[in-house]
Amino acid sequence: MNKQLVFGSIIVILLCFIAILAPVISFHNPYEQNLSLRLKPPSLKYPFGTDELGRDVFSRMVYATRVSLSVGFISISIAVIIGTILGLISGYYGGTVDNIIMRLVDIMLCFPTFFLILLVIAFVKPNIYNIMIVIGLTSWPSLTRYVRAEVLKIKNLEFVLSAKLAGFSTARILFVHILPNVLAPVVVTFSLGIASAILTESALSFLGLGVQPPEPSWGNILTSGKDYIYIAWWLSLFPGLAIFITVVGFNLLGEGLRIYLSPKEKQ
Amino acid sequence: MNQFLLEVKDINKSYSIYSTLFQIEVAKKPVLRNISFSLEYNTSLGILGPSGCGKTTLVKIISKIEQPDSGEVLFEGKNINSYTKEEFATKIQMLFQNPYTMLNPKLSIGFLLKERVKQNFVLTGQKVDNQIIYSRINELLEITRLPKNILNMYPHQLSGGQRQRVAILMVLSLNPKLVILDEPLSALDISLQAQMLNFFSELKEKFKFSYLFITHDKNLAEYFCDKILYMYEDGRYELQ
Amino acid sequence: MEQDLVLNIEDLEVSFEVKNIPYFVLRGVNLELYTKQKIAIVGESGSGKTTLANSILLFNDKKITTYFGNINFYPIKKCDELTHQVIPIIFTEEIEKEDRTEFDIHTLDEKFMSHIRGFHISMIFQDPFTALNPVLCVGEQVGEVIKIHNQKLNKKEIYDKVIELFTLVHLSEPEVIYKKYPHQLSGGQIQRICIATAIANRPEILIADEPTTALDASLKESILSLLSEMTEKFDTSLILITHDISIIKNYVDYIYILYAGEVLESGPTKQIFYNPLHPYTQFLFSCYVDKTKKGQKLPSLPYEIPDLSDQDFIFEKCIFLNRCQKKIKRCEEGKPEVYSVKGQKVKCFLYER
Repeated sequence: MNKQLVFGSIIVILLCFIAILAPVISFHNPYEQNLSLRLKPPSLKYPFGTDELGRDVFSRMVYATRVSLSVGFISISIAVIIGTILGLISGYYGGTVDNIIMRLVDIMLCFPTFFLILLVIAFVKPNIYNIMIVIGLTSWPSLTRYVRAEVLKIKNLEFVLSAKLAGFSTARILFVHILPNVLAPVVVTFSLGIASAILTESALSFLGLGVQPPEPSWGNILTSGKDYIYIAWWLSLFPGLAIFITVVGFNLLGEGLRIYLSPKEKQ
Repeated sequence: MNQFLLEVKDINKSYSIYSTLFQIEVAKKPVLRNISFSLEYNTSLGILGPSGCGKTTLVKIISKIEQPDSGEVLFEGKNINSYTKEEFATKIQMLFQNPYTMLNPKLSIGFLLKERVKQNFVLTGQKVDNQIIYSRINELLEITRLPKNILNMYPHQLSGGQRQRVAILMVLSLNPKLVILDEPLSALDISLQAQMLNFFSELKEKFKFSYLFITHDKNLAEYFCDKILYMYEDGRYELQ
Repeated sequence: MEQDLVLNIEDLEVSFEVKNIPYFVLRGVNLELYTKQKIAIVGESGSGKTTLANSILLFNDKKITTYFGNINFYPIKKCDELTHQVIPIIFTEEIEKEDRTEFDIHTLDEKFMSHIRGFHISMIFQDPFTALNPVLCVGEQVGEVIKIHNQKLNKKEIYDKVIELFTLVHLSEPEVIYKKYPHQLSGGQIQRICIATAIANRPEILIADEPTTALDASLKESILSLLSEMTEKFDTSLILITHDISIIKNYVDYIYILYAGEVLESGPTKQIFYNPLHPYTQFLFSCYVDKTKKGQKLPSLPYEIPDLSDQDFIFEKCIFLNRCQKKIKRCEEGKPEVYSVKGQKVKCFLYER
């Protein structure tokens, strides 16, 4: 049994349900402040306790799932689209085009991604949409290399030559004939990339450069957590656990997909 | 109508040899030296020679996969570079050797055929509608005696012989005048080879195309071909 | 010339279980191999020839393979690990119970098997380009094989042995070749190295699985003659597996024709070539072309090989029935046995007494 795939899928599907059913699952309004109930420990009414403004941590966490998942999904989608197209072009054409794209990839990989993102965020407003775009625009380089490597493996195989000889347009050859055969690294990177994007978003929000309160994000709940760490452990534990489980979930899924997609024994 | 279907004139091609360390070009190895020959309509020409004598290179040049260093190739009197790639696809087609890599593993047989039949119709300016496409596909399936359910299958579900026939179908769907057969039989069992040879003869009769049949088996070439081009390792050649 | 039995295959049946359906890839195979003998197993794809080779060395996937019958190996070389005269690689024991007979099937222990492979029974494969490790130089790889079975030799002795072997297989400049990597050598050279590796330890049996199929026509003869020379020199018996019957005429003494898991005909080479008895063998020969057949249409068989999971058909009727052009009424009535005709054995009702 492909344990990684099974457990990874279970976690991810569960997270999706939580995100979609957020209004149903949460007991309270995540924005509602109640200053008389500040920093209350976990209880039946407030399963994860309350934060420094009396808001229910559980509801905020549930809504924050939406933030994490959407940032993860959309930013990686941007990265995958850019990376796959550039990888296809680079691998297929070779020569100068390949050189230019690969040097661009090399340059981008020189920068520590996180600091690059910090730099960009310093110039633009920190909000959820900008984060998605920035993470997307900084995550494509390694995918380009993987896709290019796969393209190189198959571009001289007979079925590609046969498509060329049939007079098909290059676009058709790239997207209809070659792309389905290079999808394996794309799919795996997608899943692992979401994990990484969620971590990045949490880190940015923690630093105050990501999702701004009152919008809930696991990262920004942790921001208050650090200030009250000795008297309100629940503000650090639960968001931390949530990030951990989510990242593990997507990593397992990615690993499981890699195993599923790797060439199997011939029967 | 031009006298010759194909004319190859003074083709030269060399490959560069690179040093392992810095990939600097250290030498040029000539593979084809001033090679010329012509091919009539509805004739089969065998290209016979050991590995490395340049037969695959020659054929890659004729099918525009590679460019020669000098010389030209004329098809029906016109230089092959003057045809657009769509037009050229209906003139010359090639059948490859390896049954495992000749079909795209991720595309169904039906899809592969449909896109080529469509391409053919678009080029000849006929109206394209699904009914016409499917009836043409059915026609092709009958010619190769393949069952209709093969359209939903993928290459890995087919045997070597079936894949060979699907590849032939794909070639036929574009109605070429010249079909290049690059060692099409070497990966097959003897009984299948016999069947394929019969089939190639039948197709030639029916569709009146010419063949360039590449092989390293002398008996095969002498049985099947009207003329044989012998290629030698040092670049010499002879036509018989 | 006294010839001893070195391998005996009795009534071998091999089935693979795929998606809970058993496919009977080999059925009722009988084969005898003697010392100093060279035999060929001729079969097309799907005949089961590679499975047969794999069964001798127990290379089949244990999880899905079921055996029946016996394969007995009679070692000639003295060694500490094998002390008996008969080594049962596959052994089927009949156990009588009150109302029925049960079969208990044993396969040789992995410990003994790994000693046999490479030392008593060797194999060379079809594709020379994937046979060797691409990141090690070829000399080292051959050396490794020698070392495994000869722990006591030191580095220099192993090197000398490798050079000796390379010279034996007619590789020019063996010292230069020692340091080369597989991708720098031609198919023919690599195949020679594989042959060298296989006979390095003087095995009693060498199995060559389609050794020339991936090579050019010009190389086929030289590789086959090398195999012949090597096996004669070291008293190794040869099992040559191929789908091309035409090339083996001068290289083997005895031929087995395998079709869809059954041996349809067997006999001395000369007899099979001059007088093929089984309709399938005759058909195989008629498929070969040359100048003289120009313009003639070649014979072909209708349909495909039968479904090997269809137990009603493959155990009850002649396996060639649906494609045979020489059917007689008798063929509808059951499964033929093996009949002897002047030194040849054939499984066809046409030769029933």
